Parts: sequence; C-alpha cells; structure tokens
Amino acid sequence: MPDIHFSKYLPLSEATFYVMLALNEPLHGYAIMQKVEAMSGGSVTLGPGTLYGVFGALEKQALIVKVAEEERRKVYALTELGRAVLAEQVRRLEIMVGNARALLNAAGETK
Amino acid sequence: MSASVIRKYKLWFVWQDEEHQQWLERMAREGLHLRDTNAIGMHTFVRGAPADMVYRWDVQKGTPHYLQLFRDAGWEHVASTMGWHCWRKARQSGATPEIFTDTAGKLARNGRILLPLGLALIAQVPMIVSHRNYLAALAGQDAAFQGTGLAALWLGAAAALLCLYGCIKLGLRMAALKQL
Repeated sequence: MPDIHFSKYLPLSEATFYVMLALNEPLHGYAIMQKVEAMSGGSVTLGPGTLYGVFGALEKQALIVKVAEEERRKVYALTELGRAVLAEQVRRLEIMVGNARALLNAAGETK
Repeated sequence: MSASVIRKYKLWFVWQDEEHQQWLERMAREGLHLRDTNAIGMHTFVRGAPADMVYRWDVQKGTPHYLQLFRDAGWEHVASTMGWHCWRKARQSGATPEIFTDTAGKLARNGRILLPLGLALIAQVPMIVSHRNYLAALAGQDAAFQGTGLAALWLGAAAALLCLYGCIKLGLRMAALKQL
C-alpha cells in the first residue's frame, strides 16, 4: 500500500489501539470488550459508549469494515489500511520503549 | 394506576445531566426505580427493593446496533426521549461502571449535547441584531413591541440567555476534559 499518511491516524488512543488489536480476527462489539479486558489483564475496560464511538471513527477512516451482522450485532474486521496503521503504531511504540529503556537503564547505572 | 407506581415532576436542563443521574441514583437507593420519563420532566418510578444503581444518560440515534451493544455490556435501557437514552446498571462491590471510558468519547458526548444549544443560540442572533436598539425594545420603548409582542421579546431573550449559560457550562466541562 503506497504512501499512507500515518500522521493522519497516529498516535492511536489506548481504546482505539486495543479495539484494532482485538480486530486481528473479525469480532462483534461485546466479544471485543471481553477480549480487550482479558488481553490487558483488566487494565483496559471499554464502556459501550466509548466502543460505539471508536467504531464510528474507525469505520469513517476506513481502518475497519463491517463484515457481517448477527442479530443486531455488527461484526467488524481490520482493513488492509487498518492493519498497516496498527503495524506502524506498534513500530513507533517499540522505538519509544527502546529509547526509554536505554535512557532509564543508563540513569540507573550512573547512580 | 397501581399504588406501586409513583410520579414525580422534576424539570432539568441538558447541562444538568450529571446532577440528574445522581438524583435517579438517590431515588433507586430509596427503592424508586425509573420506569419512564419525558422531555418535559415527568418521571414515573416503580417502587421496589432499594438498590445501588448507576444511571447514565447518552445522546445518540438509537440504532439497533447501538442498543444491542449497551445491552450486551450489561446496561439496561430504561427510557429514551428526544435522542437521549437513559441507561442503568447495578454497582458491583463499590465499583462504578461507566458507559464512556475514554476522553474522546466523553468529549464527543458533551459535543452532542452542546450542538443543539449552540444552534438555538445562533438562531436568536438575527432577532437581536434586527432591532436598532434591542435593550430599549426590551425596556418597552419600541412601539412595534408592546403587550404580547414585548412578552415574546422577553421570552426570546430569556431563552437566549439560558442557551448561552448552558453553552458556557458545557464548554467549560469540555475544556476540563481536554486537559486530561
């Protein structure tokens, strides 16, 4: 996928990040809530109002797409663009964590 | 109407949603559980066992997908009026569940409350600027606005002031959220 303007989408909020991560496989809203809570060890809970808002924003940006509807529940999946944006976010987070580790460890050693 | 149904009248403005939620929670602790309400402030409660409930108002188009998502998350749809949806859920061991768990969602919700108020306020502007001297007209010094005309002018001014107050309240709330 050529020329994605990542700055248009990044950084992702914590809620958005986890919703996209959960959508590595197609899921409906409630399954996403449960998966995110389990994945984050209970540190991230998604309220339904928040999740509904994230769905709307991600769908508008074409980062996710509705793939099915099961009894009033919309099933979403990441688009190719969504997958690229998520990968770029992870790459940037890794750089941040790497920088922080290096600096904080160095500070610890000089003490 | 059975004796276990209690009606209470309480008018509230859209920027008082948090106070109104707290009022509904106090009622629930006294065993009065909201059954229905409407846009002009009439509330119908059903008497039952006292309960520690969380009440939350959201403003949305009530699509089937929206309603199902909230119900799946354990929220009970209590009432809806003019695009406002009242949800409730039991407080579990002191933890307060929330329908919005992120700042962006809270901001967007407050924006949806603010928008019609802002539009109503803007709608009053031509009314105000179309008078050569609006304040003099309010004071009854405009021959074109006497009697009912003057009363209508005052009503419009009061509505505009109320909308302005609401916009300021909600604007300050959103500004505080943005600093999080």
